[in-house]
Amino acid sequence: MNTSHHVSANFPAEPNAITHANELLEHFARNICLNDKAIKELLIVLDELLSNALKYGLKQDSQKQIELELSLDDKVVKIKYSDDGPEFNPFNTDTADLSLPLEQRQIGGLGITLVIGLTDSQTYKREKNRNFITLTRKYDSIC
Amino acid sequence: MNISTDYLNDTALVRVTGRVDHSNARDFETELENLQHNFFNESGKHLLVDFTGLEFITSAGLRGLLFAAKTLKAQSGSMVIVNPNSTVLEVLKISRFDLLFPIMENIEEALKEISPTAYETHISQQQQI
Repeated sequence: MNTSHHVSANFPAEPNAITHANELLEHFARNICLNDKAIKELLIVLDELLSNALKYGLKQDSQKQIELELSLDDKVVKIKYSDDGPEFNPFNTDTADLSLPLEQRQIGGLGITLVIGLTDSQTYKREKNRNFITLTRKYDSIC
Repeated sequence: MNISTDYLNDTALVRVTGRVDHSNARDFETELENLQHNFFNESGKHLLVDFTGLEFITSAGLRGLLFAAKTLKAQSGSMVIVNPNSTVLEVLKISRFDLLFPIMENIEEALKEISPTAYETHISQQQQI
């Protein structure tokens, strides 16, 4: 069983970018012992991260490129995302107020909340005209 | 994703299986909107969403759930989620949806809670099977 592994891919910032990300995750999961729960959580994280970036950061500009790297090192899964779109830090945007009662809860604004809730750490930096986001999640048991 | 709906008196029982994500969340919303027009604006009051076969749901799917819950509450109705798996439950808890509407373990428990007549109809249907 691999305890460290790494895969990466790049693809245009189009709606099917999320499909490419899912395929990369499936390829990654096949090579390491990754349990169902972990896979589902990571699928959600990738869906949210890329949906958010495509909609708000990249504005679905297919001329822009996304790079995605998934790695496992001693039970810590790391997701490294980068794109060459305009400066956009998704962790600086407004998220839904979760304390409001049902009648006042706004529709939407939960994507980044789920990314943060399903990962242990999240970082953003802007470097050489690229946005870089790194997410980590440690699993007590991968298998 | 697969959605099927049964009607039990004043309650719609919607079963969702598969995954609800960016690719099909709009279909999920449309199904709930259709229920609103065809059932909840007429005689329907309660919505029971059975997540027994649901692998996971993303924030795109949560939009439809929240809109349905808000609309039903405004009409003095209610929505209950039934039997989410641990991943779906985690998503509901992170979003604090577990504070907005009940999440129950099975259909019978949920029906007893929200509509005794729907519960009776469900039980007699089960006995006929």
